[in-house]
Amino acid sequence: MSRDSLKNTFLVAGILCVVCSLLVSSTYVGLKDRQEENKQRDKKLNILEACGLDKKTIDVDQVYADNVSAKLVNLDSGQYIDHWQEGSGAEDYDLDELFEDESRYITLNRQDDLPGIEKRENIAAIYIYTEGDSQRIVLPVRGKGLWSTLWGFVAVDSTGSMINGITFYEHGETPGLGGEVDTVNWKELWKSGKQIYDEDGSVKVKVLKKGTPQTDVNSQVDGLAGATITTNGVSKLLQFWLGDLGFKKFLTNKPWLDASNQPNPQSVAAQDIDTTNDGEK
Amino acid sequence: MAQAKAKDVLFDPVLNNNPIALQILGICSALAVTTKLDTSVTMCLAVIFVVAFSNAAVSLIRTVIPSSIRIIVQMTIIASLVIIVDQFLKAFAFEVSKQLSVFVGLIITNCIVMGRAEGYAMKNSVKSSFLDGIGNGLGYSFILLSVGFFRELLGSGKLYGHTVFELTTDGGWYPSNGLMLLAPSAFFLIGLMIWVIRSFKPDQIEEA
Repeated sequence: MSRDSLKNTFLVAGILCVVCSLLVSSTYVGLKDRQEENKQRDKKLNILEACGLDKKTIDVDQVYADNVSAKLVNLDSGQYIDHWQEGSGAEDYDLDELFEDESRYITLNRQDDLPGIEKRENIAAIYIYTEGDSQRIVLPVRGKGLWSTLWGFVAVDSTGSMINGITFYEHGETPGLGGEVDTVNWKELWKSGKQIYDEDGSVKVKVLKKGTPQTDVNSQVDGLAGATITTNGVSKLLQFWLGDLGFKKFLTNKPWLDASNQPNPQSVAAQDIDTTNDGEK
Repeated sequence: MAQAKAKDVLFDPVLNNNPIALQILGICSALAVTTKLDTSVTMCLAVIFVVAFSNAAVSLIRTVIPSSIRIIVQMTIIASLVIIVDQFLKAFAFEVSKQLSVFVGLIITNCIVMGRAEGYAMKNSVKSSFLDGIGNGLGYSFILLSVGFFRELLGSGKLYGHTVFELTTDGGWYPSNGLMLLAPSAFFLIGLMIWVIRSFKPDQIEEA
């Protein structure tokens, strides 16, 4: 059989594709667990980094286990809730699985959908970092940048009105431009604390286009040069997730201050009923 | 075609026929991943692996590859190897793989890999193709590591993450050179290296 014959061409192409796909898929399947583990660990690391800890000086797993507790929040009531689905608590929270059931999320209309995420879960998993008396509330956020959806965390102080840290653990922005949102230098800008709301209660924290003079140091952050769309995306996702459809009710209710919410998650359900009225006054 | 000596095949691409310095290939990744040594090293290992095995694989089936689809066949092999490398990095070197981000995937489009598959492996035995792959990987690594060495040392006063020059920002004496952390500095460094190599090896200078 001649090597340039039609038959040989198809044969070589076919065999090559099968062999290559077998190799690639078996590598993926074989390494999947390990990669998943890395991702989980990276998420923990980002939660701690949002709280201002330095990954180089701490044992991530240890500190996370000692100081961080995961909670579920009902975004519509702004209160803690025990389960996001039958028998699953905050530890098993899985956004992909949650989106499988239409009753567990709302579809956003175009006006509300600032970050371009289309669906908003009704119950979100948040993380409380406790060290001594101080607490940080770590909220998950996501939204579109230029090319990709940015996934990250925002750390809010225990008054619920000030951002103390921000991290992004997954994105596909241009390295060196928009990709700089996950670099130390930019994250550093948030550590001084940024006021979230103005007097009327609307979100005022904002990322400015690079070069725009700051008019309010307490709520504005310099954008990244050459990454206007990515940093606008960050502004929009903050505006959404800290706003009425996001965590605003939760940040107003501050259920984390309630001592009875701390030690035993079982008591949360009862607590919900008591504090609902307080929160809405 | 007479077989060249294994040693020549392996080490020629390092100085005499360097893929970056002489052929000016693979510049893109050389700029992008050399701000620090540990990303440079990982990138080098990944490229050496991909070039060596893609060369060997292409050479192994070179007599049956139909010429009409040979480029696609080479691409498929290269792309598969790169995906495998990327998966391994995500599993075993997660931090570094996050920093390298798209550049591991971009090894697929690195002209060195494709160039060696088409230019060498299609005509030579499996063994010398494999060695040629390693050799070209080493040539690439030689430039990358040199550039990475200077950029990390002058840009952040560190080598492989360990402080060598105490920075002024940390109370030391060395004011960091911010230019070294930006991509253009790699152009300057590669240019300087080409100058140095060609001063010692004048036969590499192209006719004006």
